[in-house]
Amino acid sequence: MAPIIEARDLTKRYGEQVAVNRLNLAVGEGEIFGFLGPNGAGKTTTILMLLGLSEPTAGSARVCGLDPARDPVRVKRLVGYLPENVGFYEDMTGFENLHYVARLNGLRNRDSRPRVQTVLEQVGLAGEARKRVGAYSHGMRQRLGIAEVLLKDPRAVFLDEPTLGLDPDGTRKMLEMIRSLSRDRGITVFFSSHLLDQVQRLSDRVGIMLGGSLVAAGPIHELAQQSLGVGRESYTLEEIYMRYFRETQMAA
Amino acid sequence: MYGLAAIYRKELEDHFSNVRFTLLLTVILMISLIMAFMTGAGLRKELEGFTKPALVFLMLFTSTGTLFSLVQFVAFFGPLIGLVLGFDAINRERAQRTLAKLVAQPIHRDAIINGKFLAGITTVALLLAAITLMTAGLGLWVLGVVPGGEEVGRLAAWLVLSVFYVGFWLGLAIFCSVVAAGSRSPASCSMVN
Repeated sequence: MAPIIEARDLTKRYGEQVAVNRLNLAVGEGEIFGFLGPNGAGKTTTILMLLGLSEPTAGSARVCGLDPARDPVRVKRLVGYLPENVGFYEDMTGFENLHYVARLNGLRNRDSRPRVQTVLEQVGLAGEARKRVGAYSHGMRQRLGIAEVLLKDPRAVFLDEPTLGLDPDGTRKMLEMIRSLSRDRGITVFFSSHLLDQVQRLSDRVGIMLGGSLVAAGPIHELAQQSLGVGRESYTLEEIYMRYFRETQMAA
Repeated sequence: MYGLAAIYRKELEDHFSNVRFTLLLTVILMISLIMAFMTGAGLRKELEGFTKPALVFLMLFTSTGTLFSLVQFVAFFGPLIGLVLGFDAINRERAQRTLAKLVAQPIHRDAIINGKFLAGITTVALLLAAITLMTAGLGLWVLGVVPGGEEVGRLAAWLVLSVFYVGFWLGLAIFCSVVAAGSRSPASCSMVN
C-alpha cells in the first residue's frame, strides 16, 4: 500500500540556518506516527511543509497522493491540522467558532449545523457549545481543536503537541481520542510531542528528530534493537531517545 | 470562492459588533449631525433675501460655516477611519493564535486578506453613505431646498471617490498588519510561523 504521507529529502533553510535537513519518511494509511524531538528540532516546520503552508527549500513531499507545495488547497481539504496551542475567537461560542471553520471548508449553512453538532458530541463538548470560548478551560480548547479538525472528515491529521499543558485527566482523554481516530475511523495520525511515555503508549511507529535531521524512524521495538542492542527484554522510549540524543551531541 | 465569502461575512459581523467600531460610528455620526445642522442654519441665514445660487444644495457639504465642512471632514478623518478598521486585521489573528488554523483551511491565502479588505470597504461605504444621506436629509429640512439631478449626481460621484480614498488607507493599514505579523519570526515568508 502506498504511504499516505511521504517526504523525500525535504529541506528547509532560513538563510544560513537549516531548520529541516534532508528528511525522508513515509507514513502508512491509518497509522499513528509519533514525531519526537526537543523544541526547535524542526518538527513544526516539517508539518508546515507537509501541509503546504511553508515551501520547502529543496526536496519534495506527497500527502494523499498530492504535492502540498503545488496543490496546497486540495491537500488541506483532505488533511486536518491542529497547531500547537491553537487559538479561537474568544468572544464567539464554541459552536460559532466551528461553524465558521465549516464554512471555510465549503459547507453550506444548512449542512454545517448538524455537522458541527456531530463533532461537538464526538469530543464531548455538546453541553458547552453555547458558551463563549473565552470561558473554556485549556482541556476544553484542545478538544474543541480536535472537533475543528474532524469537521472536514479528514483522511489524515497533523497534531502539533496536542497534549501540551494538559492535566493528567485531560491528557488521558486526549490520548484516548487520538487512538480512537486511528482505530475506529481509520484516520492517519501524525502527532508531534516531546512527552516520551505518551508517544510510546500510542504510536505504531515513531520518528526521532534532532537538530533538523530525522535520526531514527520505525516501530519502537526495532529502534530498541538498533540502539540498545539485541536481546533487551524491557526498554523505554526514553532510553532509546536519550541514546540518539547523546550520539547526536557527541557528533556535534 | 466560498472561503472569501465566509471570511467576508465573518469580518463584516465583527466590524458591526465591535465596540471600537460602535464608538467610531457614534462619534462620526454625532459630529456630522452637528455639522450638518450648523451649516444648514448658517446657509439659510446667509442666503436670506438673495436669489438662490446654482447648486445651493451642495453648499451643505462644502460650506465651512463655523467649524469645517463635511467634505473637509472626510478628507481629514477618512484616512483615520481606514487605518482604525485595518491596522490589526492580520496580526490580531496572529495574536489570538487563530492565523495558523485559518491558513490550514482549504482556502487560498489571499482570500483571507481580500475578505478582510472587502469587509472593511463595505463598512466604510455604509458609514460614508449614512453620513452623506443624513446631512442631505437634515439639509432638506433646515434649508428647504430640493436637490436637482446634477446635485445628486455630483454627490454620488463624491461618495464613490471618498470610498476609494478611504479604501486606499484601509489597504495600506492591512498591508502593514501583514508585514507586522510576519516580521516577528525568521519564518517571515510564511504567514504562519
